[in-house]
Amino acid sequence: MVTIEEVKSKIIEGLNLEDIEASEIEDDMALFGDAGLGLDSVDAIELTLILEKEFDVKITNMAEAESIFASAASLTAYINDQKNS
Amino acid sequence: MTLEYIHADSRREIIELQTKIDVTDSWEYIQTSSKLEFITLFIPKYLSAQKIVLFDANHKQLLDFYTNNDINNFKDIEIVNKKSKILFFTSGSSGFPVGAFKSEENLLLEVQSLKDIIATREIKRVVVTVPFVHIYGILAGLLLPMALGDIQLVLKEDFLPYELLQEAAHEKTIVITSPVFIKALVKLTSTTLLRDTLFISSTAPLALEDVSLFEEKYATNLMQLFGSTETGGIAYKMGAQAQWNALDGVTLQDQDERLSVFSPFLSPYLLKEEIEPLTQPYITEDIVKIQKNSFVLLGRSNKLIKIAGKRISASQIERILEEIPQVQGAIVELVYKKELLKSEQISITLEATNQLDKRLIKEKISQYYGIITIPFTIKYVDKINYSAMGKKVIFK
Repeated sequence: MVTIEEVKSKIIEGLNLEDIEASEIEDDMALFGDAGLGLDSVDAIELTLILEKEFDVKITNMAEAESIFASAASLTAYINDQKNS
Repeated sequence: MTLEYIHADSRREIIELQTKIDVTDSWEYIQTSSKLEFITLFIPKYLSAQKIVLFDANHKQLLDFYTNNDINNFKDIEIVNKKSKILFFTSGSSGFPVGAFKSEENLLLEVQSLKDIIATREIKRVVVTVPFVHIYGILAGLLLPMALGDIQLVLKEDFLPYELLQEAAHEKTIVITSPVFIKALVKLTSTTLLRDTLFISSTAPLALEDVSLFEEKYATNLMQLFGSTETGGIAYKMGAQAQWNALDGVTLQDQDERLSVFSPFLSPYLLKEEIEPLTQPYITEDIVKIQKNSFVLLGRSNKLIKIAGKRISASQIERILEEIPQVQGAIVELVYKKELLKSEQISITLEATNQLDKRLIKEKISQYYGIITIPFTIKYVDKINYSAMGKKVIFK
């Protein structure tokens, strides 16, 4: 079982968001777009690499990525679903 | 050429493209961030000889410049109109907008030069990951496929690495892409082999190590293009060689170690505060070691840096930051973080009365560069001094 705090830490570490603390990322905060964490399309590619390397989870298409990458909470839920399936 | 468009839900559609429309005598800006919308607007305009303006609408400074300056009213525009077909906008070395007019001859000769390099390959599909608003996207991603004739152009707004891998695995495919995807594919655990595929990458040179890893992992072929908006393509290289070879028709020299270019692809005119003819040779900001008509890239001579292929002026960001009342001085430097896809980041050193909220700095930079995401770190120093030559130095 992966915790949301682990996922947040891996996002910060993997995307080199040096100035952000895990506590600053709210569970349901949008990861993409100016209203949230402000990640962009290159970060989406990097996130897929982080998921594969750190959690052994593959994201193979953008259609599913949009809902999975919505927030730290949705990302964590997807990782745990994959690990349990 | 037929267009196969992959929708966000992975549905595939063959799109019919118009070829002729009524055109105007004015310059027209194609403003869209959608690849599909772009291509449906661009192709009929281009084939109907409409004069077209292109730049990234997310680059707020370029958009402001274009909005506040009617291209059709510039002095000498009538002379330019006789020779020009597309106007690309980019940031100049000072950070202020520069327009580069391209003639039909510029574009067709360069496409032919690219076509000649890949002439021995049988090509059925061209997959494009890059946007079309920049010269590389137009030349390699659109005009080259059009010139190749009976091929399928495959487009998707955004690819994830595994999606690109799936498209690249089709036989007789060329992938027009950028360093971000090459580096991402190196990191995947996939064991797919892509012997029959050619990847073309531009916008920033890849490290030789990344090229070797990529070609070995997928048993595939990588070609890189080197150029700029003003010059068009200058040189290319295959695989992990250090030397860049001049494109056909381009002559390279060095002037005080800077790259000097004679080329049929050079813009005949630039647009700055006014229209200026561009004289040959054009001296770029690249520091090179010339060997015959090829070169090894040693670095750049100014503080113009590229983030994800977009020109960012370090000097301009320093000026922007120094507009913040609490900031007495700023130094902006490029930091290369090899392990990240966004390997080019900026390091900001500030002399300020107090530490600033990072969001304020991001907001300030966004006022000029729009929503371009520039990764940056900040450190504070007691004093930024100036050398005898007037250059900023960090006093430690």
